[in-house]
Amino acid sequence: MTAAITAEGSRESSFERVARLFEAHHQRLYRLARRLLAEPAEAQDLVQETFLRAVRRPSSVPAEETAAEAWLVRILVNLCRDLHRRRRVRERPAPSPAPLVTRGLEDVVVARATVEALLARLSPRRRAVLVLAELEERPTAEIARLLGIAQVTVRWHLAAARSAMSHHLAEDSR
Amino acid sequence: MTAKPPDPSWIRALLRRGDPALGESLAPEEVARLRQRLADEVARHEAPLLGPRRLVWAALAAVLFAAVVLRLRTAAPPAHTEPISAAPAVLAADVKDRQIHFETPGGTRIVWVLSPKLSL
Repeated sequence: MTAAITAEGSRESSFERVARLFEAHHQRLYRLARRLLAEPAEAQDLVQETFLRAVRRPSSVPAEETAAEAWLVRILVNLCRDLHRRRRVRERPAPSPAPLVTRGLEDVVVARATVEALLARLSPRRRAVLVLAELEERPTAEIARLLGIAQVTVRWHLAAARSAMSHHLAEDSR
Repeated sequence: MTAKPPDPSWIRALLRRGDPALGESLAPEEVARLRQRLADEVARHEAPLLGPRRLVWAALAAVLFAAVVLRLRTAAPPAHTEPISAAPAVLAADVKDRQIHFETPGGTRIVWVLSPKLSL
């Protein structure tokens, strides 16, 4: 059985460790997955697969708590990229976003459809950067740490994502 | 001339209004299912010695070992099972006469000779 030293210094089995990580991060990872994928079922599968990776390769999960969280986020984003790559070959292109002109009760629904369609047009990594920056309000340094990329790359992806969103919205409203 | 970068504030506002994860969370039953799935996977990885496949192999090995031991025991010649027999000549040569001496109250000495060679 593998064991890791926790921050408190106690030794815990890989099961206890994964269980603890699961309890601490599953909802947040699900929300991130939900922002990266259109289907809730796919987001659930992604979360499950992320934690299964932790179970199968416990030695690859960093012992330090924030590093372990970053590891989980990286695995989730990479799984999303794999899914995107597999799908790109055989599936239809992302739908055009609905026009953002509706007022009233449907506003939220329309906004959601618009955002989902816009996000679907971005590459998974760019989408992850945008979501972490704009929706989770994480600073650039933290996004870089979570995704294992340079801060300048984060800024570049963020600028490109904003530009692409703006461009697609302008294009679709013509 | 470079294009003016888009204003991030309206993009942020749009993203927040249409956030796909707004009000979403994993349902308790789904969380329970995931927990169970992880526990199953941990059990599969952490206790391979108790896996059904290994148990079957261990049982087969034990049965095979027992069969071999049993077979060896039954095939070996049993110890001390041959009848003890010797040729009469050898017996006669090896075994000496035995004598019993005793005396009567009247003083008569009697000697009994026990000879294996004696036949009636």
